[in-house]
Amino acid sequence: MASGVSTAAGLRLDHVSRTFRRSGGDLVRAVDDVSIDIPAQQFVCLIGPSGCGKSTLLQMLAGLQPINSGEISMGGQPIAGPSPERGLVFQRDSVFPWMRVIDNAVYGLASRGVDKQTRLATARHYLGLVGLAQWERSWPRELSGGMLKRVAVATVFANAPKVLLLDEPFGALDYVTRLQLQRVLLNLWGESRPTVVFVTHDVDEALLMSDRILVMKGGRVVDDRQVSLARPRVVESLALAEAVAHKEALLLHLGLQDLVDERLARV
Amino acid sequence: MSSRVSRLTSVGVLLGLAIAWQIASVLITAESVPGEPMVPGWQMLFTQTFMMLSDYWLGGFGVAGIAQGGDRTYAGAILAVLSNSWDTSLRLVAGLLLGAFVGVVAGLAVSWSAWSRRLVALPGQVLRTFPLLALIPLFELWFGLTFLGMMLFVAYGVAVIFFTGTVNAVRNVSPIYVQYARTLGASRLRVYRTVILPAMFPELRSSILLGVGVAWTAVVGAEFLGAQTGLGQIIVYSKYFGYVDRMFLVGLILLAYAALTFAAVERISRPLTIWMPGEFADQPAVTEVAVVEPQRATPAIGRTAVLE
Repeated sequence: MASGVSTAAGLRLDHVSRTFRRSGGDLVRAVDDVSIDIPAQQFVCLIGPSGCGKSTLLQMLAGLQPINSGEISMGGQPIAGPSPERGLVFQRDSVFPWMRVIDNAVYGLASRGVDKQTRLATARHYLGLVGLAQWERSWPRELSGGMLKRVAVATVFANAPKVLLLDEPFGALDYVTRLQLQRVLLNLWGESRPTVVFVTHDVDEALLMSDRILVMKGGRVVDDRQVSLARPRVVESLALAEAVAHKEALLLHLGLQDLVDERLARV
Repeated sequence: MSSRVSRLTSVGVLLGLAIAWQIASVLITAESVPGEPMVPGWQMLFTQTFMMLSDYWLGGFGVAGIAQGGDRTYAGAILAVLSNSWDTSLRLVAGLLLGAFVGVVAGLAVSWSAWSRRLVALPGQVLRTFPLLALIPLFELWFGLTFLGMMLFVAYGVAVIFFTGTVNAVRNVSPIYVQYARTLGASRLRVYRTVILPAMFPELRSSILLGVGVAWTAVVGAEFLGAQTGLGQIIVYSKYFGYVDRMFLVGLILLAYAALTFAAVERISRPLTIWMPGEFADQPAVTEVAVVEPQRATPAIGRTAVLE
């Protein structure tokens, strides 16, 4: 089992761009000359207003979208196309509805030719860690949205990726479920420590989870903030001075100038 | 509880139709030839007409055929129905399996790669638009009145339906499943086997039912043209002599077979769709449409046969 052993690899983005042609015919630079270095095992949150290019960038990291110019490398090797070394958790439900929970959880391992005993043991280990040990024979239609996310997270972790990419994974969930899943994800991350790139539009989520927050706007990275709040973080951590400072800066980036002005006026 | 009510309603409607037919047989006195009513009643169909089917028993199993000087018997009639059904079914099943396989593979090829799409997509769309029944004489000239020719004709009719159905069903598979599988390390072949095929099956099911209906149309149509055996051949010979009752009885037998095959498709596909939400209240909506096909095809084919 992968527990305790990290296989993480760092990511390096070198002048990466991605251009779309809109249906109107004009070109849009969704990702514009982005260069970032992400060391192995770092938990990075990518935050920005909708349409800022953060999801496009994540899809490029996953190898699901072509890179128009520049290069993305993982552990020193340029990436080409999707790979099980870069696991992806989608915003929408991606769990296969035609497979039982356990068959979903072993899917990546089976795809890579891992023998049946090992893959079952690994999948059960991770299903246990996300709290779905009792549900392995269930069909996805019998599970709630939050449970489906747990299946997806367990499936990706069972595959022992070097890099874990998450595209607003908990965006569609209710507040309590989201907090629970953040905890689940952090526990799993603490166990095997892959490098994480987590796209979100939720400032609190970013502050609770990440080592580093990258802010994107108009296809560019406009801010790069180190978060050194002690772990494990709890909801109260958000009231610490460092968190408040980060939050103010992030809200400014997200366009909430008025809200910040109002707060400053009251101080 | 409501499923029981709806089943009772269905049985009631069927009974009503049977009674209406019987009333019509009394009211309508027209005859195709003397002694052959246009609307034969049930009392005639299940006795005299059924016995007459022994005309199509060629002899064997200790029951002599009419051509060998045997009498018309119920045993002969039963053997005639069984042996002709067997011949028709073999042609149907062989053509259906071949056509389904070719159609699905060609349909998958459209999405497999740019090259396979170029090779298959346009020819597939062109072949699809040929009117099936107009091709019967062509197949007859190419293959003669052989098993191979009839099987290929059925296969053609079925393949174009499965092709269209597969292309459409693949297109409607959500790309997120394919992307998820690929980021988990699945090869392209594995994506097709474990994602595309199961995900498209519910959508393909209507094409399967449609294909089975067309297979019955095609096999009976192919037999109209001069097969020596088969249920379609009985219908065409009956037509020459104005035996409306025999045509109707064979039509009923075909109807029963078609219903059985639809039920079989439902049965076989159930375990393949057990994962779907709300899969326990499904209706075989296509059944009625497809069963009507063989009968509707009769006049057009009959005319072609006469011209030959």
